[in-house]
Amino acid sequence: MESLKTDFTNRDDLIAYVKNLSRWASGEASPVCGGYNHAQEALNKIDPINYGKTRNFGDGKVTKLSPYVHHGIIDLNEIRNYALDKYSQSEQITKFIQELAWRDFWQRVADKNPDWIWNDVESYKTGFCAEDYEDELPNDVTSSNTGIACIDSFINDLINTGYVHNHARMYLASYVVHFRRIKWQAGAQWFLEHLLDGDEASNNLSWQWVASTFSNKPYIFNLENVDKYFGKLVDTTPENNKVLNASYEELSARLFPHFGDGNG
Amino acid sequence: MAKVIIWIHDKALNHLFLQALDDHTRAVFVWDNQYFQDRSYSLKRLVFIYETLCQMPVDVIKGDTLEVMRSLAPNEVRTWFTADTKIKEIARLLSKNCNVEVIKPQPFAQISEAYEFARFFKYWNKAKKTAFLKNGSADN
Repeated sequence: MESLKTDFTNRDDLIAYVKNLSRWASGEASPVCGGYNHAQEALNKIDPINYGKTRNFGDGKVTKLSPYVHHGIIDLNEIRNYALDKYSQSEQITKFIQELAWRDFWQRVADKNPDWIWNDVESYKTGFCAEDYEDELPNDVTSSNTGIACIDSFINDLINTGYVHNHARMYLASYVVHFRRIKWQAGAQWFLEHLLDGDEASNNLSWQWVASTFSNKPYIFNLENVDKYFGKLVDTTPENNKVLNASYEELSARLFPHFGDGNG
Repeated sequence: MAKVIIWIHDKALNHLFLQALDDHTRAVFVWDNQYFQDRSYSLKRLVFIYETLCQMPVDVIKGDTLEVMRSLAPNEVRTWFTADTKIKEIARLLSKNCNVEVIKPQPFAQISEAYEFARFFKYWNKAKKTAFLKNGSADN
């Protein structure tokens, strides 16, 4: 048995060591660092009250604790207790606690129903059946070359950092499943490859929530929504995001033309 | 004295878990390239895991997880609960060779395991009764 080195003088040496250890692995290291100390740093920076008010915005007070939670470096209980210690009035931090609860919910559902992790829980409610969706992601998606500026920017975040804001994840998932009509499983696998917090339960069931195979309706978005929440961070000009520049009524008619025909 | 191995997997890089270490226990993480490749982990994920391991009192051993664990011939393996299907399967196979104790974390909220939830807000209506309590329990 080969025992591996765990003592490095700097991060570059560690990265080089891991590259050599797993030469098959693609890409480069993320700027986000692992380890308990970094998890504690992130915990000390949480702002649960403003989280509740700003979490949907790209520059909102999100915690970025999810990679540490996913790997068990820190657990939900520790985060909840920290927030309760800091804020005695729990109604101020309802949204924050509720977001922690989403992870608990996904874990419970997946533990009880392991078959749901990779299989449709319910049928699509889009007017299409599962066979109508492609199995594979096209190259323009995986190489951030869709020609839709904001989508390409979110894909670059995924590939380069392994972190994507939760709201942007929903945009990406919706784009893949509904705008490109690709099976959610292909997108979920792609996220698991890159996301530092990529978790079968939370990730896959969230993709199913967007797809409508684990929710009552498909999640869609338009450019106006992206501009509202991410307008300061990504290019949301209409000329560079033509596909998304429509009302919800127009998008529903375009993306789900058979909905209401008795197919979903 | 029983030989106990604490099996650290990539969903259980938990420092608290290792506070139970004593002279008769050894914490082991197996750097299993096949396991990682099967999951298509990018280098980003691998580096994140590795630098976390470097801050833990754990032996990192290269090899196949089951083969390494079996070759260490423990009487007992302790590991941390995860809903992850691949890790649960490894634990199940390992349990053919030795006793495997799966430790569950403090529940986030007090909800009977008998409940089945298919929508978040049905879960939340039950969870919120204890989710705002320290350790998820009125006993604290």
